[in-house]
Amino acid sequence: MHSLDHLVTLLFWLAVAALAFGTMRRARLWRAGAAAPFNWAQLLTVPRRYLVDVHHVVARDPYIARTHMLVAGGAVAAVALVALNYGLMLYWPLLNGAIVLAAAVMLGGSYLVWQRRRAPLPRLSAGPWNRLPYTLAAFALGLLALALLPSALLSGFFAALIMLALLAGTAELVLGIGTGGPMKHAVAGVLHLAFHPRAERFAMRSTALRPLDLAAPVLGVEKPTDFRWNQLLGFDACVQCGKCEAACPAFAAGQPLNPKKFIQDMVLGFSGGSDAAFAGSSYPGITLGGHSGAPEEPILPALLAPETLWSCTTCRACVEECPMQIEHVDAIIDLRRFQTLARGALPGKGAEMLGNLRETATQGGYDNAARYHWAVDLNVRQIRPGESVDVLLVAGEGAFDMRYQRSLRALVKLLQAASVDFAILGALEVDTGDTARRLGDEATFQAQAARLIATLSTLTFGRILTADPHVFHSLKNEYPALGGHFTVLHHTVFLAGLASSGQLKLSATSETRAITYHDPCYLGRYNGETEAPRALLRQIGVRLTEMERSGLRGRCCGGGGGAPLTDIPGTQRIPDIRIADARATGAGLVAVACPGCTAMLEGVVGPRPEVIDVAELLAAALEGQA
Amino acid sequence: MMFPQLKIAALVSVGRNPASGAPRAARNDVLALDAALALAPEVSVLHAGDAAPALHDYLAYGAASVEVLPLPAGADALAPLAARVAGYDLILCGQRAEAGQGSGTLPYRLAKALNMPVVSAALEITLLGDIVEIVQFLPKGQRRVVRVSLPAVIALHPLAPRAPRYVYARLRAGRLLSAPALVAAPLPVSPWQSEPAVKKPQKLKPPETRQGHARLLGAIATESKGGALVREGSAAEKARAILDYLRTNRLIEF
Repeated sequence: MHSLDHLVTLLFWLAVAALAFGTMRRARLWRAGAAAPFNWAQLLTVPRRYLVDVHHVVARDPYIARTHMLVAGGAVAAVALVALNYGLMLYWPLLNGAIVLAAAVMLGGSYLVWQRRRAPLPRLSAGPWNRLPYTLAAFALGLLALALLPSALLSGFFAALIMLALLAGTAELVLGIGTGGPMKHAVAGVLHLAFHPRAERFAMRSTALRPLDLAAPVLGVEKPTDFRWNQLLGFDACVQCGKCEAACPAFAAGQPLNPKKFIQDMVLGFSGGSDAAFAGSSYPGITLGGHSGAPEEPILPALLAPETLWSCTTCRACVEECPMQIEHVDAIIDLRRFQTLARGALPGKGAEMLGNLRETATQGGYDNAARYHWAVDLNVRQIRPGESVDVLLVAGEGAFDMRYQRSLRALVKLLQAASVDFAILGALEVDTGDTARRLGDEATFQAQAARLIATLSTLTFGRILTADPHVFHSLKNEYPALGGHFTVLHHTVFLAGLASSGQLKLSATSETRAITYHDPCYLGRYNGETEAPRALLRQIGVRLTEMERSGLRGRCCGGGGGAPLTDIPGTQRIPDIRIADARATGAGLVAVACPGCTAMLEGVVGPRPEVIDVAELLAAALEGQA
Repeated sequence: MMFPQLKIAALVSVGRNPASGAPRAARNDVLALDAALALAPEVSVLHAGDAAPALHDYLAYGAASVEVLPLPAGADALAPLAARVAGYDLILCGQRAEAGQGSGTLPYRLAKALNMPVVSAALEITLLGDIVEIVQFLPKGQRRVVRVSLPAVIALHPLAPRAPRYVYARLRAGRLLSAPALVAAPLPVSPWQSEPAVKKPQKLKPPETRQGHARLLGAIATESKGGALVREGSAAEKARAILDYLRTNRLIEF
């Protein structure tokens, strides 16, 4: 028995106490949030969620995946062994050998962290995060020395040095949660995985927004404490890796939004303080230090500029990239709900569109009876109550757009060629209210949804088919919570089924230009459907050249979330960036599958690849036509 | 600047969306309400007619409540409104209703009944003690500043530069109040007559294909403008000639 060992035991239990105290202190901040269901047993889900869901995201960057495995794995193993050997005062040499092993692994990992931070990517935060390789290495080195060197041989000076290193490392590990340091992510991250505000996402792709109780005293989120407590906890899990920042289309376009800074601002909101100490990239065009928040203070505009809130396209690229499974878009929508429903403070054309929806059931203020003028000469059935049909075609707002009418007509041509029993909803159709919901106007959304559900419930049909991913997402994922349960198909999925069963006979395309495919966010990220459109294009002999960001990680066209209506200026436009992506592949044609993407990408001026819907490409390749 | 001691009334009507015909808050009256709320925190918002659901929109636009003065169908809103707003300092309304007769005469008739001055086409309203300064709309970008003493009736121009906000939380909090019925006179007989619109036949004219120089020459020349005189042949042949002419000039598409 040596005094150094006892000292380590003391340090260990002090550290445990500090960790417990810090966690309690932080938990008090989280618990100021609104109520959410809570069950201790959810802690049991953490290993699976960590090893499967978190790993799935982290593994996209193998370097940091290895690094974290070594550092965190080594640290957890070392701390567990220290708890056993020193905490329980066993002092077995054999366990010391195991500690050496774990500490060595951790030291190796710390070296990789150091390497990473020598020339840091712009998305990484500096500040306290830069000291991490040193404090982690100090902890590992201290443990190594402690476990390797027989303490009898140590001079007092050297023993003090070891203790100092251990102290520095331990302080980093256990004080983070209480003081808001970098290592708070270890505690908050684990608890966030357990009590995640969107727990369904660990079982399936979950992207639907939660319905808002329109009788609630506060509509949406005004102050940080209006967030549910587990949302506040989720903000605290952020490791400031900046993968969201690198993926955010608004940030890339120089609009005043940065998802990483947004999450950090929410942390500032419930913990109080100014953003002057933030050590990452700010919102483009907004200097640091001008914003501060407090738990009971309104978030806008003191903590968050309205332009930041309305820049988001709700494309979920940040959520897709986030290793900590933070739900940025849900928080944005919660804030928008308050701004819209309690303040009426929408910028740009947002308010006008919402008025149009309430008065005409169309976004553009059109005569709703004109919604099906595109189909008058196509000999298409309009559904009537009492007549049953297999496939009901819902067009969406794109029906008023002369460009997208071409795609719809191509789709009808394909359905007729495949002898599908289908009808259109005709003048009975009203807008799904999807855009109103993204702009935070839950009242208008729920009114529109109730109207459409009432209409659909009087009709007899098997499935709903739509060419608009926004209609698709809202009918399929968001209407069930409001009592509308339908089988909904996107046209690419439905056509892919017809083509593979041979019902739709396609020949090779005559298109000679190189073709790339742009994934609509609401089809890809929101619904996981990236394969059907590609399978269809392969079927007509297209060899796709993929853009750098495609599939589930595709870049937004800039048209989501009502962003074209709120129209927050940046240094460039998001669709210009996307077309630059397409140009970089050498493509002469961009295949799309969404009226929003079509409009945004076709709005790019100057020479650019042609933008054509998958349905139009297929209709041109129908077998047996001249 | 707020003037809480002033009694201000905003008169609102049920409008209609031009595309769908759906009832809504009349845009011009919303501007009047918004202008009134900018002058005083408490505004009496009055509607003569039925308690239509569309009146809830005015709650969303900032009215704490809308007082509905019952009006039998076909009755004139003037008498109940004039009785209700007697004693008010300022009465604001839109210039013209979106539905019904929409004659735009109510502000004038109301002012006459109350013996008050009336100012129409108001864009901006500033209170200077018991005087109101009004920037009036004139065509072609011109503006005129007029001053009237209170009490007064002011009709807002549809282009008044205001940004009223539709707030659902206010709609939820506000309510419609029904006032006791007042005696109302029938609507004055309109001097206007209505008759169904008749579509006039349009002359089919071939599109001009000549260049400018040739067109100028054509304008000073007296020679024939082209075409052919068909005197011979059967009726079917003459019809065929007309049809051919229409087709070659793409005046019909079949």
